[in-house]
Amino acid sequence: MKIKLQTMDPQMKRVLGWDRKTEDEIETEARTLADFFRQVKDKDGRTLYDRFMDDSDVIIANSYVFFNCMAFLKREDFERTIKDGDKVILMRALAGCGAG
Amino acid sequence: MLTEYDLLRYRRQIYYPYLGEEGQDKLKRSHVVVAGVGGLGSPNAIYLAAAGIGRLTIIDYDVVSLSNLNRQILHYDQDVGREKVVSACEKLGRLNPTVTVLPLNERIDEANAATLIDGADLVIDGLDNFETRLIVNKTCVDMGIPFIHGGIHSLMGEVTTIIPGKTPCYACLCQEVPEQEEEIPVLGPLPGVIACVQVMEAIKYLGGFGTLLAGRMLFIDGSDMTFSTISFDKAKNCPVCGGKSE
Repeated sequence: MKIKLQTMDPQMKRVLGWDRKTEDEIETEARTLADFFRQVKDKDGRTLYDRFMDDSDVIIANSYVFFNCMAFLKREDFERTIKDGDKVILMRALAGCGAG
Repeated sequence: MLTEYDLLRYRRQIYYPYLGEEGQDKLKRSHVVVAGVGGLGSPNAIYLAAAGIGRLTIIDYDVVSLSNLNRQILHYDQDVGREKVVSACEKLGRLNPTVTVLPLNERIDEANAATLIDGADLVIDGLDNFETRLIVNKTCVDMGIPFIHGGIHSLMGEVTTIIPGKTPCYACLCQEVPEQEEEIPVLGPLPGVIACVQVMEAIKYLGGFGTLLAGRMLFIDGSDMTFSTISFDKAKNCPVCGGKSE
């Protein structure tokens, strides 16, 4: 099956090693979103799972992970079963201008 | 009720048929809180005042510094060292003396947030940090006040409109305070673009027309001028709005 992975964020594109493209269809046998994140690697060979999960129970907090229009926040969310045609969007959370 | 002065001053937007005199009168009777008058909040406040929002409350605890001035366009060189709300209030008063501006030199926190935004028809996110944004988001959801979020980093920006009870809230996207750089790169026009989108949303909401970025996040990448929207739903486990659908 194929899962569509998309990001419009320049930093995320750099992480994935995507130069010009903003989305890709990835062939996978993964059963869950977590499996899928363990399969897909960034340009340095680190899995998305390692990149997006911290030591606690949440996604690295400066990122948004959308799965079919749902923002995923907790590790348990990633145990959801995936199917052909599902869509994952990765974005960076943006603060504001900041001080200074 | 609109005066002759109002009809002339806002003539070009009153011409817009979906706003009209009725919509302009709604704007005049509206109270908007601008949380933060920095890079986003400055153009937020300018366009809200120019549009004839009747009452603006501007909240910020900071003073103007020289390195603010590439983007915080309510503040000028001679304002360095002054309270931002005082500097902003002066400029807004000159821009549109018919608008009532209440400057609050306060740091928004959990204890005072409800008091500071009480009575607002809408709150605009001109904040520069996640922690305060999460507080304001929760307060707005609890009080049923719409919250128009904007965020930026370098050439990337985002906007979404949060209508309590109807749309996902900011905590549907972000529940823990992320690590944040002390100083982030930002080109001045980017917060201007994002702030203008936020004010467009505010005017549409208050004027009662158009389609909002409700349940949608607009992402703008200024590096290649890509504008994208992502639809998103309430987080099923959102501790702020999860159980508050209408």
